[in-house]
Amino acid sequence: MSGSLALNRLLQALLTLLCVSFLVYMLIGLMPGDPVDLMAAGNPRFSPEDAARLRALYGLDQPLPLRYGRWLGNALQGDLGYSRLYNLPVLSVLWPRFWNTGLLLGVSLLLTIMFALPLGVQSARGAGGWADRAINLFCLAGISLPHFWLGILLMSLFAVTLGWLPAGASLEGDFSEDMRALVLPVATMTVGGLAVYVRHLRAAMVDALRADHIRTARAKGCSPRRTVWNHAFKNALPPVLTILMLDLGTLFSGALTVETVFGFPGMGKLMFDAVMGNDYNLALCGFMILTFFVLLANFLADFLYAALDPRVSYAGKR
Amino acid sequence: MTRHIPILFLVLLLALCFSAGALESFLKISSNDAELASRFLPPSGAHLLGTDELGRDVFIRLLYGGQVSLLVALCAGLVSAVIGTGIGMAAGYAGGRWDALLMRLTDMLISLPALPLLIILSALDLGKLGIDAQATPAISLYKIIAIISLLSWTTVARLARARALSLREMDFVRAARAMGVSGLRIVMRHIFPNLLGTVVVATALAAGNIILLESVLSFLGLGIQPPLPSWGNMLTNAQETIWEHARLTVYPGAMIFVTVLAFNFLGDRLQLALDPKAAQRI
Repeated sequence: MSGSLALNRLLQALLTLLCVSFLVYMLIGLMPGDPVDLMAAGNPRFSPEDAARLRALYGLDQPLPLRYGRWLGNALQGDLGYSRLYNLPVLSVLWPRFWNTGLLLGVSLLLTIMFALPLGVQSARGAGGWADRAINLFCLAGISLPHFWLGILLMSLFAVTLGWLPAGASLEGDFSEDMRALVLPVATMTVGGLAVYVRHLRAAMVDALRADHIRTARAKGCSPRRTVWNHAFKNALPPVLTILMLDLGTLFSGALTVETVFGFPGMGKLMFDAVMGNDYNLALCGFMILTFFVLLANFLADFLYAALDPRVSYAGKR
Repeated sequence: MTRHIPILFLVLLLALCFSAGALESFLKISSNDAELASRFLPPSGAHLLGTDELGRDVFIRLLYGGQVSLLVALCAGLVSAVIGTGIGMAAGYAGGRWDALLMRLTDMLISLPALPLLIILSALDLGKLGIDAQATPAISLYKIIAIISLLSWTTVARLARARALSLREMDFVRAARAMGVSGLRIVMRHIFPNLLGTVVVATALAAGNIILLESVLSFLGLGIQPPLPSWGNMLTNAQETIWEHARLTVYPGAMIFVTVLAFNFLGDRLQLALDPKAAQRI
């Protein structure tokens, strides 16, 4: 990938981030009640004059675009403001939650890939056969399954009926307990996400197996195992990895549901709590950080694709 | 025969759900009145699937929930199809700068984490948009249709664009252009009818996704508001009593699953019908 194109993509990503932050900030103006109203709600001695004074103090009486400019200026200096719900700077609330979600996503993604690889490859090798059809049916069921219901079902089976695992996953800091608590959320994410990757992998493998060099490999007497894994799989991998990177937004969405079902202290649960508790600054910053990582992943996906597949070159498109 | 099962199922479900009112009066049960004496009844002749935490009949509530889910899927699916086709056709046929601009916008929307964005959108204060939130009890229904439509047109747009791009270069379109037919007329008479099939497939697949989104939002308490039942908000209540009555968590989820599955099957089937060569290729 040429330097100027990389720069172009980077600028595009930054512009998107700027647009998103502006739009989301404008949305905050449409949320029910402003911070001062919420302060006044629980305090009978709060007079309208107090409210006006506080509004002027926080700059809430100024027009939204101006407030956005100030917010952006502060954000660029690393000051994202305060969380009303937790009475802490937004970043110190978000950071630990961010790692928790990272842990949940990382472990379940790893497991998903481990299961998706053999299923997708097997499905493509025997395309049209009974195994392929069974796997296809499983995938169609998988993409139709609501993640939160899967979570509830697993909870009612393993926590309520069998009592093997805890129903909640609130992470108390005790290592072995936390590991046990992670099992159900991770299982939900893994089973829920599996179908999508098997489908992508199967499509990519079917394409790769149809290439001329596969016929050549077979003709020269290469073992089927070697043909599939060394010749075809290598070519099927780049598109699948790219899709994986591009799919980060969907993964976060899945994590949000699973986190709320199990009460797992991650970014998704935090954003949900923030919206429910009228803590819009926290919700906005959480959303901005998620968007930042999604755009970063999209940006890296382009590099990854070019790096993994030497046939792909962006130089000609200048 | 088996290939007609999804469409048959959806038609039956539609008929059953929209006759919920009639069934209710026929069976002489009420879906909304709390009867605390008959809470958590097991399935029986009077209550096919038993009763919930307020003594309401679960079967009838499932049907009412189905009305909501199907209505949202239908309306939001239609709106996204219209927006997506419009934007996709405009981008694909106009090409150049317009194409780049519209597709950048679409890519941007696709890359955003959908559910977090939906959660923020669903918290909007309708009063500040100049809408009276108390005007009708079904306001949460309209709201959810609007915000889901806003996000789910992207797939339709991309497919419509790809199709319009290739149609634009076809001989009959070139001939029409050479004869001096106006751009709008070419789009409406020559491009649109030829990409309708693609749009129908994409919309059927989108409908399944819309039901999933609606149910998860309602489950989180941000979508359809009680007392209006929906499969999502029935699951919220069911999860609260999971330790005593895990049975109640099964029905609404199973309904969502089977309905979404039917829409996905339908989409796949339609795709095969439109492009039979695809079946041989795979």
